Amino acid sequence: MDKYFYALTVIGRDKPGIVAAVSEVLYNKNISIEDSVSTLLGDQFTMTLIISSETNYGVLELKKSFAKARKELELSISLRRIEKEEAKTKEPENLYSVSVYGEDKVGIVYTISKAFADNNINILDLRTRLTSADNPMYVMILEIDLPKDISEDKFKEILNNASKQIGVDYSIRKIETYEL
Amino acid sequence: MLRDIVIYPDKRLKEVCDEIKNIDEKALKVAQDLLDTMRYYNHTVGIAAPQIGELVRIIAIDASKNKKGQKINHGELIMINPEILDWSSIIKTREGCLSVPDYTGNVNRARKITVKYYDLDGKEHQFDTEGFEAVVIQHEIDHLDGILFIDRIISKRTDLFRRKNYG
Repeated sequence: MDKYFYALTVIGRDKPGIVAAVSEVLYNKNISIEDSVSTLLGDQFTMTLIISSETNYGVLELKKSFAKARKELELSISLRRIEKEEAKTKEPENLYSVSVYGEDKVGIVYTISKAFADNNINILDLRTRLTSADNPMYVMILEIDLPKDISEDKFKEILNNASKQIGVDYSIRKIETYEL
Repeated sequence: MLRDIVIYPDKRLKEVCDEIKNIDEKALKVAQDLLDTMRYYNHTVGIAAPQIGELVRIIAIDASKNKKGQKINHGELIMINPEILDWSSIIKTREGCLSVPDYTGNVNRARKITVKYYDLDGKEHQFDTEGFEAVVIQHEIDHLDGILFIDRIISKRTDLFRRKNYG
């Protein structure tokens, strides 16, 4: 049976019931959640989902089915069609966890991510947080897939250069999976 | 004998296993099957009886099979009625499991443990271990209590949250 895939994002002022309202719409249309992450950013609750359906719903038609949830919970919803291949994550080769932190300033995420992009280093996960102390500290936690042709020393050199530019500290740890 | 691996959502993975009261032929057979099955899978360094469908407290481990276990290991072992007597310090590991294919997650484990068990002759043993081997033993003992690594995953979000109580 062919399946049809969509990327769905939802964001709105946090309150109980957002996940229930969104998943109720999907459930009633017999739509599966293939992969998803939802979290609270500031006081905005955000959901990002890859969904699939055996029915080939039109994008507009699907969007319309969220009308009630959107109105009652004041949600912004976006939806687009994706290819089947885009629904599956490729197996990462060489996972590293990276922490970058320092005094808050504009450009930390840009400088670090630009250095990664220039070296073809793919970011798989990224969270940032600004602390609320008197001297706010910016923290960035990433999970990246290091290409096989970049050694750990070379990777440190790339990070050294980028972090020096913007005056932040960093550390890396190889993520090892224990297959038990 | 090589046995099939029980895969979740098989309910046997969520059972608390029975203690071995005496090491009879049946227990010896389970132990041998655990070894055969663990040896068959190159990357498998530990297996618990419920993973082959036997709801008894026996595990097999061999941390020496993995490069992470090279420094500290006690070789290939059958552990009957294994019990963790003491532990200290915590490490975060990313674990996967034969019985839960295609999924890994971050789990906190004790870095150092003291473990007690009986061997196939019914002789009691006790040793301290740490790192990879300690993680393997904890993962396998969890299986005897119907606990999967998924039960121990902590939401990622908490990593970036401030601890509110400095008790």
